[in-house]
Amino acid sequence: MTKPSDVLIDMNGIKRSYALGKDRHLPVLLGLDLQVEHGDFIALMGPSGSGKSTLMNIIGCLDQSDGGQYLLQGRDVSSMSDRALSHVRGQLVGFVFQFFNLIPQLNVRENVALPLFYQGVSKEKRERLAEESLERVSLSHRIDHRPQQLSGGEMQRAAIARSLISKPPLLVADEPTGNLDSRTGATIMELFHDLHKEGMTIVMVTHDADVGKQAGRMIHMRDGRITP
Amino acid sequence: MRNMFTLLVMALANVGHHKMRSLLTMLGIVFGVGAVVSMLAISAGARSEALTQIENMGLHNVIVRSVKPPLVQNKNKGDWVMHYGLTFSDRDHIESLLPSIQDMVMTRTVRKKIWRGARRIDADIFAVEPGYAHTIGLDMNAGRFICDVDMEQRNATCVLGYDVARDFFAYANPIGEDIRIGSEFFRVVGVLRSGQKDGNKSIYIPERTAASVFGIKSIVRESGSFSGTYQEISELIIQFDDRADVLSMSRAVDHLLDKRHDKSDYEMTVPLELLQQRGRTQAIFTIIMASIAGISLLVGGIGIMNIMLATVLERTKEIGIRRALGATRSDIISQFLVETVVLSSLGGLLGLAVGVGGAKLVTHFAEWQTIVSPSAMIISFGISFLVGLVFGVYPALRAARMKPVDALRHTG
Repeated sequence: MTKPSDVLIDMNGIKRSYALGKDRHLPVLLGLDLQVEHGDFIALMGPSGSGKSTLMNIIGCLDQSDGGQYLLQGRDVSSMSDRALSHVRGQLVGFVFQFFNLIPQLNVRENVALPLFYQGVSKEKRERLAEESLERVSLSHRIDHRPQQLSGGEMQRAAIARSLISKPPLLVADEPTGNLDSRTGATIMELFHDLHKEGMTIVMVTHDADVGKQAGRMIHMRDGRITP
Repeated sequence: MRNMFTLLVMALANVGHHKMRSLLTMLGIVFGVGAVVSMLAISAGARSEALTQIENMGLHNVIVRSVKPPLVQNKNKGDWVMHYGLTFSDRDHIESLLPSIQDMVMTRTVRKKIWRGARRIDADIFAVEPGYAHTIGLDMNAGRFICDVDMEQRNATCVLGYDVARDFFAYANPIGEDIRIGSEFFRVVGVLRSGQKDGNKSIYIPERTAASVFGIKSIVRESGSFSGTYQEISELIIQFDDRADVLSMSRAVDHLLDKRHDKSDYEMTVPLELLQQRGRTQAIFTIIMASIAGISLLVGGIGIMNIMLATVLERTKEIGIRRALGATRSDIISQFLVETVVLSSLGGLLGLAVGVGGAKLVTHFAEWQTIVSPSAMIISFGISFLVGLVFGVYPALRAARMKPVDALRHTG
């Protein structure tokens, strides 16, 4: 048994369904239990429609469950207000997306520093931390470029720098290599491995079995349930 | 509302990112504010012009003029001379009964032809007393006005209005020269400064000289028949002192005269009353203008709201990203509100330029006086700011209401 303080994600009986119309609901998650410890590297796998994206959104606090309880680092996020949930996202979760999701009218430095802006960090500190974070992903030379001027791999590295800037305990990655060629994808995976070695907890959604195998633990989903 | 400066910079960057669209969005506000500024400038100019005119008549003055009554009954049958208007005895009566009169001057219109050698010009001739220039506030360009000695000795002297002097003498010095009025010669002793009310095209002669030379009766020949009028005073200007209530004094004058005249052969002008009426008309004008300006700004505001709603839709993905990175609903509201206010305020600034330019053009081409007051500029700019704030609320709320997951999933 693990000590309670080691558990980062503690989900019990999580349910989520979508309204299809009046009195009709499509159940997507059917009462799901999941425990993730600090330092885990998890690959969330399953066919489309299995509910893995919904689960990822709930884990990342982008969405809330209809039923069950979700404790993130001991805090009950299943009943939090929108405002509190926004702060949890900003401080506890770093996101990496398949399509990078950098904001085109901001340069790399500003994109990376954006989470700190919403935490009320001063401009000088934001810029200093953005530079450090970009150095961590070896992208210092692109700091003043716009996202459109970067290659796919560089954009994903910038996005990873952004997800690391608040030093969150949890990294949520949605198909991080899905939009990259295999060589670039491999370098991104290397970066994830490095972060994992440094103690970062990573939850990664992928449908690529080769990518999934690189994670420490694979969780397969089917029809709204975790299959053993 | 943290990091307001950064929000402002981001908003400006976004406005600059879509220059053409931003400009088109602002256009309604630009012209709305431009219209407000130039209309305010035109009305302020017109007001100041009208005020100057009224104030030139003297706010402490009551002006009584003799007018031809609708039906003149001659006192003596067979007398073809019409008797009407104010008399010297009216004047003495007013002077003896009313307090706080500071000064009282009269004029009598003399209908004679004016010659200088073989040249004839048209000008109004007024028989006046020496105090006239001082009471009315006429300034001399050269020489002097009619004096007490002129009156006592019935000197044939005259003072020319600026335009009259120019017409007769061009750039030569008229002082000491003679002009002919009717069949009499008058020596020029002074010339008025130009641009004074009614003074430019007038000639002033001493009242007693006029009475003894021309008489008080004036006879005009019209198509074979003669008609004559007997009128002692054409215009009486009563000046009250500073403490007098001019409006009630004017009613007292009216009352006194009404008792002495059985026909309505005089009319009164009270500049102070005109000023107050002018104020009321101005208020109506201001309300009409404010409504027009309000409508144009409303249209401008709706234009901005429309574009901002489209912008919010277009930037759904960005909103999702920002929400994922920790932005709260109020962060999103601030962002879009600041952006709308920046747009409308920039529009307001451009509108100020358009309005000031428009006012200058009106002054240049229509030769109307315009006054762009700092308060008008501040008010117009403030309104454009407010328009942004009011019409930015709905798009900002729409942006903030989106769920982070749905916004992130948005493609486009």
